[in-house]
Amino acid sequence: MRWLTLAFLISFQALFIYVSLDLPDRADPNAPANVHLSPEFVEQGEKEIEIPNLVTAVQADFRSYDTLGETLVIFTAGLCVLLVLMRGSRTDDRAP
Amino acid sequence: MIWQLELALFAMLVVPAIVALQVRDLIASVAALTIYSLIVAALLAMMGAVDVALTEAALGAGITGVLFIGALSLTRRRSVD
Amino acid sequence: MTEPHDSLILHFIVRAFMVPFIIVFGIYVLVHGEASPGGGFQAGAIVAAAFVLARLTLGREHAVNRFPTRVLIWTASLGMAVYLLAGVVPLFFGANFLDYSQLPVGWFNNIATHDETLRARGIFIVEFGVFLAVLGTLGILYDYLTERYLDD
Repeated sequence: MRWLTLAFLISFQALFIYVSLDLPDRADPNAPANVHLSPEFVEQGEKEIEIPNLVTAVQADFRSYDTLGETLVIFTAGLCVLLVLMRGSRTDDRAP
Repeated sequence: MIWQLELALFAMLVVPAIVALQVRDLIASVAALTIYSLIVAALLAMMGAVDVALTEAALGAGITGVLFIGALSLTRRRSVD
Repeated sequence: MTEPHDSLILHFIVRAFMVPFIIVFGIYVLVHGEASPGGGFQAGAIVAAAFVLARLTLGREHAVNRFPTRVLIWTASLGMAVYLLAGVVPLFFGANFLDYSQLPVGWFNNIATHDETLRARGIFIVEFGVFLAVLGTLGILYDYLTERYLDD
């Protein structure tokens, strides 16, 4: 059974390697993921926001809804832990 | 991009993953996961994604291990399988 | 994992070097995140790591006295409030939700050392909100995951 699992995994790995040969190179400017919106972000980020770190500009300005949702997810996780694990009897650091 | 160093890092990446799956002591498993995150952070920094590498090093190698150990302290330490 | 260790060297190293250095590095990552790698999320994680380190080594009671859990809850809520206000305030100035170019922070250029665009100021405000939210949330997670070992 273990050998069957191992053979299955090895064949799957071979399939993955074969497929990955067709992927575009890393940071290829002509890759399909990089030709649609990225040039506009790069140009407008340089021109309108004028901060050197373009990743921060995209993350906090152009994609601000995403960052808002991400922060809300983390905050909600904290609130859920608070609600599940909070003890009502402790008084010194109880939630106000 | 030095492809030899990258290949060596990828080869090193396999070891803590297997260790984290196979070891019985769950705290040792968390330590292996932390090493895994650190190697992933080094790989991301080599690929040029420095912001993601900083996030991975701060969250994966810093906070996640502590939170896993904190969650383990609520249950048993040994794995059953 | 909540009782303090009694090693004097560990206490000295952690209190004198590691926790202050990690907090200062986190604030550097926050305020310099527009010019170098970093941002609110990473800075919040780094400063939360400093808090967790203090709680691990100096004992939970000591660190909780310095920075109690309810302050962390207020911190997380304040961070979310800062982010949402940065989104809502431009609505009153005739712009869209989260449009930083209409934020009323233009007066800050008069007292700052160099000019920045309003969108860069808005980015910093938002990153500060994310910083507070992540810092508070990770502190809440650690505190409440290890809380029940205080009196067992």
